[in-house]
Amino acid sequence: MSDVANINGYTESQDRSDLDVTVGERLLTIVGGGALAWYGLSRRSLLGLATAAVGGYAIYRSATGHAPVREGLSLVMSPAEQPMVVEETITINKSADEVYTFFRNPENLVRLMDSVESVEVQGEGWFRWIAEPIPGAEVVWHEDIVEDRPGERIVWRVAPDADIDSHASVTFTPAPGERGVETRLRFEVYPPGGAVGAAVAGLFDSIAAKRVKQYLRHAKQLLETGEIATVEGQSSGRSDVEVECW
Amino acid sequence: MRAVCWHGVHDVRVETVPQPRILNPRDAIIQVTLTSICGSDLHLYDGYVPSMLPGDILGHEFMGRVVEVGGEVQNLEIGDRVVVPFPIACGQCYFCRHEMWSLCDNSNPKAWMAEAVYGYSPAGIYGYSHLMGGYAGGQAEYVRVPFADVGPMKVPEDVVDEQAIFLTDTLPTGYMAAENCAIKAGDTVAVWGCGPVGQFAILSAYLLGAERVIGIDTVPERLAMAREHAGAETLDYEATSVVASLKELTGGRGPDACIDAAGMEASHGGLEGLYDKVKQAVRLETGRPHALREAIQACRKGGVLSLAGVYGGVIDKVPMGAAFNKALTFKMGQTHVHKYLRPLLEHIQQGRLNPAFIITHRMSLEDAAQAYEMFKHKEDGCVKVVLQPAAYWASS
Repeated sequence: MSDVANINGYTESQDRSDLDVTVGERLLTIVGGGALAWYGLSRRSLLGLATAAVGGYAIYRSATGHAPVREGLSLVMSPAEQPMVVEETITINKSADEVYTFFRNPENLVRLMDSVESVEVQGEGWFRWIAEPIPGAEVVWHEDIVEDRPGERIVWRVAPDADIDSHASVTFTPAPGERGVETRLRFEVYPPGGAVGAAVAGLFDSIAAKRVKQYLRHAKQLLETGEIATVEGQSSGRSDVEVECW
Repeated sequence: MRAVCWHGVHDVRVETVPQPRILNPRDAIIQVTLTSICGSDLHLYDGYVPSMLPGDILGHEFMGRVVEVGGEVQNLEIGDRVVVPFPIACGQCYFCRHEMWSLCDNSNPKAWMAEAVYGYSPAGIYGYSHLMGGYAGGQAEYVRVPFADVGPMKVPEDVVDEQAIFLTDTLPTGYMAAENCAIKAGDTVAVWGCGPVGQFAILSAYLLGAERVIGIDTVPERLAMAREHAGAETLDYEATSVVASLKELTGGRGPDACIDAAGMEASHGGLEGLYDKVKQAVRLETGRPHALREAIQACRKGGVLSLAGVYGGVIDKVPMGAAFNKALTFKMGQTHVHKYLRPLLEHIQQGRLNPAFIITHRMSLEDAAQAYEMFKHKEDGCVKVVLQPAAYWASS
């Protein structure tokens, strides 16, 4: 099992020592973990959710004074048997083939999720995703397509070495009366067990549905209108940047 | 640039803010030549619409000249003189394709918020709270117009700004209210509220074949305007029982259709008025629906109730028993402005409608705070205020 995701700062600090974390480190990770969890919550992407989950782990680690992932505690490491599931649906006024083609292109998926920097195609069905939700905290993960039925369904699964096992699917069903395509996006996440798992589950429940719906809205807007509706960067009588009302 | 910014209840300020810029390929930037204050802006001014933020630029009735277009806007050129519909519509979703422009699926960037409140999100609207997208409005020198290849309509030179400005909202809103009445020969239509929308609803009802139109208000100059310019019979609700008078005027049948052009801040005295004012003040209801209640009561059996005045949230003591047992039809909604632009422009060009008569005050954009206060209190005979940005004010 690899370390706490692949977030650079945390990986390095934990690699320095196999011993329990020091008091200073505990303070740092509490602050850092809190910031990371908050940051993850404030981002509108599933990746943000993952960031939040990792932040939650960092808090757990410093609060207990142990680094359970490093010690390989089965309490934390064994994934839950039941996945957390979020599923949202939107009807897109296009043909099933057009919507399928859109979702099959990873460049388009990047446009839906605003914290994702890039995605590279790496051989048959494999993608390497890179996101930098905060400066210096690059997150990298790999996914492959495990099911690909043109015009009907795509299923992605993260690589087995990821910290949090998950897969995602998108299913296309023609709506009656030429109303377009019912597009159903589903994420299944197998969180680690124990306290961290509970924290992840709580975060997932509270934010994932809204976020997944937002991905679908962006997909619909791009497919139907060619752009994502926005007011970010517009004029106002506020001196700060546009306030995001979440 | 200068813009009218909302800062709180009864607090609007004209401030210097950054120029708008193109954010999406289908955007355009319009230099505003004329803008106006809508009765529904008073709901923002009075604080009855949630999700406003201090600094939001107000205004959804505006027109002007195109000064910049995004890469995907092929139908407009720099210098074109256009009116802009107040709902923002993409033109490609199911609703736009079925002429339900104010229900556009794709124009509200904060759709999640409207979905939480209304179940589904209607179209984005300029300067009308974050629930409606948080778009900067057009009571400003410049405004960003999204989906500019769909919304703005070029105005022929023979139609002056003071006629064209009302195509953005007020005129189509009055027209749709009348159209929703499905008027047949011999019909009598009663209109609650003789503000700008009520005046246009009266005119439109006649245009669509109504035999008689009765306007209801209590402000003398509004009743006079309804009689002299729009040709309505009028009732003063402070001086008479509206339901009894309407029954009397229609041979005991009641009006065939009733238009509520007053909305969520309808005025009314007595105990009922006090009840609603108190509940609205403590936010137990968000509207004072007196006109709606009375219209339901007054409407004939099998008649139509058409709502043009804006409702935003929850209202109270609506006589559903009367509505149900008289088998009334309810029609309502934000106006599908795009659908009415060209037909109404033609009515103006042919001389069948001259909407400029509702203007009672012409002011500089710089005086917006004073204009809001005057309009709210209906001071100085105020029915409609148009505002000109300073540059145009100086040259005209």
